[in-house]
Amino acid sequence: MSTLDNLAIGFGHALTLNNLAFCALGCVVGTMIGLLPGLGPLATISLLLPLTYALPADASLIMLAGIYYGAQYGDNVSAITMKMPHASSIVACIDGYQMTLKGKTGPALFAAGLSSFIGGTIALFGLIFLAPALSALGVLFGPAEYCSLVLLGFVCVSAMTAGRFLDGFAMCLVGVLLGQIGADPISGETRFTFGLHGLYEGVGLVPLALGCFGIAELIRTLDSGENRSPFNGKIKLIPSRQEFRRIFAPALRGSLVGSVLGILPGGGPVVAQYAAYALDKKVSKYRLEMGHGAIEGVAGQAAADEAAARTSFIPLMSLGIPENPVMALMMGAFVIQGIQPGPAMIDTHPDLFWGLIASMWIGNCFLLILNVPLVRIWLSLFKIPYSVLFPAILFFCCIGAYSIRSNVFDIFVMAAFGVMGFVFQRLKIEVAPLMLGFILGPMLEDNFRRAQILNHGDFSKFVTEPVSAVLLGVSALCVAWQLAVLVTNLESSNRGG
Amino acid sequence: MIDRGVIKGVVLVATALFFGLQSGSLQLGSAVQPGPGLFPLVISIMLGMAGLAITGIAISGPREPLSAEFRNVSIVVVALVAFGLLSRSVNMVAGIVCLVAVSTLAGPKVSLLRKAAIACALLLIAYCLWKVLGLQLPLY
Repeated sequence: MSTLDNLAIGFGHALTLNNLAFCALGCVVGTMIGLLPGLGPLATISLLLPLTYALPADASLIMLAGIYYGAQYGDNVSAITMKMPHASSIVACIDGYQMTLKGKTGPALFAAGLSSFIGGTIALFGLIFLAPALSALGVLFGPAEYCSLVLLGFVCVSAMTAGRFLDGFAMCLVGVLLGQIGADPISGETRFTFGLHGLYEGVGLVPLALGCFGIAELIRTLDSGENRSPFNGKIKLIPSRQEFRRIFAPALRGSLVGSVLGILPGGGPVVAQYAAYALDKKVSKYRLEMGHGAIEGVAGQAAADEAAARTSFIPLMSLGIPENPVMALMMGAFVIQGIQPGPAMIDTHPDLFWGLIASMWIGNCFLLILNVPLVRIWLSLFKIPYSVLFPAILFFCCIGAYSIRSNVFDIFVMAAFGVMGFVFQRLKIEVAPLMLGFILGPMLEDNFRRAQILNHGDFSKFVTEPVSAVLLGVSALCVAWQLAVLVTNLESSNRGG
Repeated sequence: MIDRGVIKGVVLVATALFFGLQSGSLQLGSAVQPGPGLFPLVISIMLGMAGLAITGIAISGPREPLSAEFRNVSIVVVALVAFGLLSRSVNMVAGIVCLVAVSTLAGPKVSLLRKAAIACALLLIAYCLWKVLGLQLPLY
């Protein structure tokens, strides 16, 4: 089937009134919740995930994808207008907030919206051509190769974590261990359940995510006692002609950077933002203005952000391996809907696959049409004092955790993980890699055991099979590089100290 | 003053021990046929090593302070547990009221009238979620 035929199927599915509505709803709700203090994409998606349970598979995935981009745009808005970043929009704060201080909020928000659109469109080409190609490669991946790929993912995410490599890697491992709680799929023995009936099926994805990323962030915001005055400035959205022209070059650069970085293990929007910003600082005609309110600073990173967010779906849908924590959560959502992402997905659910890709572009359009003009309404949400907002957020978290299996036990689980998230935050460990470990742990174990059985316990097969060897080799290089960085840091701090 | 890095490492090693010692009691199996205990044990050992490395680095490096306020996290946990217990034993209306009452003790001070307003708003939202979206909530 030619690509155009596939796209036609995809758009046919995505353009039904039903799916269009859910796409729009996802974008809007995602932006609304993503704006709120203390709720980044991970928390937003996990909070809204239970809403999608009752929906059919394609509608729920389309809505979730919309929520994701919406949340990212919401983050951009709060970063630009109020210097309130989540981990996912720190770069937007730099030039974006400077532009606000100069009274240029409108053009900044417009630039973010338009650049996101450009980034998403360019990334779409990547999706259309690379996703099926990578799917075809999936044939080369046996159990040993999957093991090595997961390990590479852990290593790369850890390397990218702000903070130290060891911290990130440790979090991946903790996530894997948490994923082991419950009945062992192969032997049926219960592990780490302490006889608690509620843990027999394991720790739920939603209570874990809500606890670590929702409740923990909420507590952090309460602790810091932030009293942000709501944004009261005027917003004139349309930029000047010169500013408008300046958006395109960094947006195109950012789109390409983001599209490539999104596919790589450990990659994703955060890395793409930094890389695009750094590139613009080196290459742009207006680089001296950057850091002081140059529109390039907003455009480049917004485009890279969106592009990476979309291309990071490629490894998930084609190989079934999520490459960063948000994709891990998405994978959980796929599985809840009964879809196993992977090389087989494109054959068994082509309408879903292409429908999702088509709806990603439609979501793009919605973001441009809806969110950018509606930004005034979003900003008025900030006028609600946090003292009123946070009980509501707690309430939604409870509903979210409870409604998975109508069991209050999950609320207690969520509270426990809230405490865990709090502890790790105070210790200044970045918790996001834990999500990757949690989702991928079962896959790692399953493939490890299968590989062992297939290879008759021969460990050397992991390094002699070509694909696996390459993946392990890259992991080893990454680890060696990170350890070298660690050692040089230690030496320099000891010499100075 | 307690060094944050050391505590970090200790917490990780403790987690590794917690999971590792338990997985030892499960069947380990062999290299050819791994049992349920083998994989958690391997992961726990890796985590333990990472934890020890982090502790070692922290001891040899500069001291980092550790600060934590326990008031807000305790209030939030109590609010959540109360919500769960009340929703199970009484009904969710009681749970929501209790949630608002307890959680508003954290954060900035809020008047009783405002607390009541928040509770009413949440009750209304819960009712809508129940009727419109069909979520199974044991409201009464």
